[in-house]
Amino acid sequence: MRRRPRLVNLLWRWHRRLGLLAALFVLVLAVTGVVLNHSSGLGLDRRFVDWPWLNSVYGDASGDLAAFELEGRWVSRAANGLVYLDGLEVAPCSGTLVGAVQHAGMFLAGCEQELLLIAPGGELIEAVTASTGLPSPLSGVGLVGDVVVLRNAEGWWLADLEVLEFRAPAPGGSLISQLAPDRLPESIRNAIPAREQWLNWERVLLDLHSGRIAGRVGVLWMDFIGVLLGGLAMSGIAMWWLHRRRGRR
Amino acid sequence: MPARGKPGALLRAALAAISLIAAFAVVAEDYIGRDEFLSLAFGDASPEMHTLWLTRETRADAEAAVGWIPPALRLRYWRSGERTAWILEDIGKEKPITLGIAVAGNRIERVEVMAFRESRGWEIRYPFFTSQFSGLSLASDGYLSDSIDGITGATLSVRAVERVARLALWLDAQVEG
Repeated sequence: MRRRPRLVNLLWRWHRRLGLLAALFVLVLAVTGVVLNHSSGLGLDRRFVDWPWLNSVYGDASGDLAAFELEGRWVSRAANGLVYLDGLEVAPCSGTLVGAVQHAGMFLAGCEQELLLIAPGGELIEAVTASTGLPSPLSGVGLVGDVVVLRNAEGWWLADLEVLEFRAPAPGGSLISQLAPDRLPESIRNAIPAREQWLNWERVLLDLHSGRIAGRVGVLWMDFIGVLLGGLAMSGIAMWWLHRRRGRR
Repeated sequence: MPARGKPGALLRAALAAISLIAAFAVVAEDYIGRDEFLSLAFGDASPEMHTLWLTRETRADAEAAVGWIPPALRLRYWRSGERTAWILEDIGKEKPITLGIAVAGNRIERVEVMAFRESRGWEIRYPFFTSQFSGLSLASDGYLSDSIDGITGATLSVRAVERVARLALWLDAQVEG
């Protein structure tokens, strides 16, 4: 006679705890499930995502088309992975465009894995990579006076591009001038390849529903939530059955 | 209901894009850096870095002699005595392969795969392949003086190494001449 109330109490306690844990994800599943049922009617399969951070989650960081204006000239990296000077195609550049400066009559475009030296006519002078000494992956490009400075995870480096030497700056620090990325003017934006639009809201909702938006971990987590919901259903049935038997006695 | 078929295509496109990114993330590898390559090429000697500007005429000559030339207007090379070392890139299938090539006396001394970014064909980095280039020179037809044994499944990467080796020999002849 004592085992059943104890079992019911235990089931009830864990049913509540696990139910609370699952509640948020049940809401996500419910909302995304309902919306997905009507995605065609809502036009979600035809509406493309234009949120740079969300595009970058899908590895499509080109949506924002980061660009830098250097005395009226625009350096940008298009969806096809090529760097452009205004509307002129220069060369492929590995990684996101992180900065650009004008130096010694050249335009310097810094991508994560490569630094392009570009002539005013749009010709590629040189591509400097890790194999030729570039401190990569780059996260910034700037100037200290007339000296080019590059940033990676270890900090800033003074760059001598004539001899391809990169050395740490003396302690004390100087003022580093960096350009903030800007939005490419429409006239140039229309002249270079636009981002290929494939990421729609239906895709995002499907990936939220399955957990795939967080990669492998997200899928495993949603699997866990699925098992949890199964457990909640069984504990609910067990409690109902035990309660019913007690009531009959 | 024309929109019905679209999610399938979009799903495939999304999965293809994500797989491509994942594949790139897994296989992109830098094997050796500049200093390590120069140390292998020159030993204890201290090479000096030089710049070779590729004029319109030089580019046309290279195209005629070996069939290709990188798009950059200038190339760097290192020199000590009659030995030169070149760090050059060429596309295998889709991504550039970075190669270090040492040349002395118009013959290749050493080929090193410094960085490989393709998803297939990385076997070219091993000495069983790269050692075949040692001692080869540039024949009058612009090809290597001896044939190179390929690697099954790495045909495009093998061709890229051959192209770069031919170019390095041609460039060495320009700076020697």
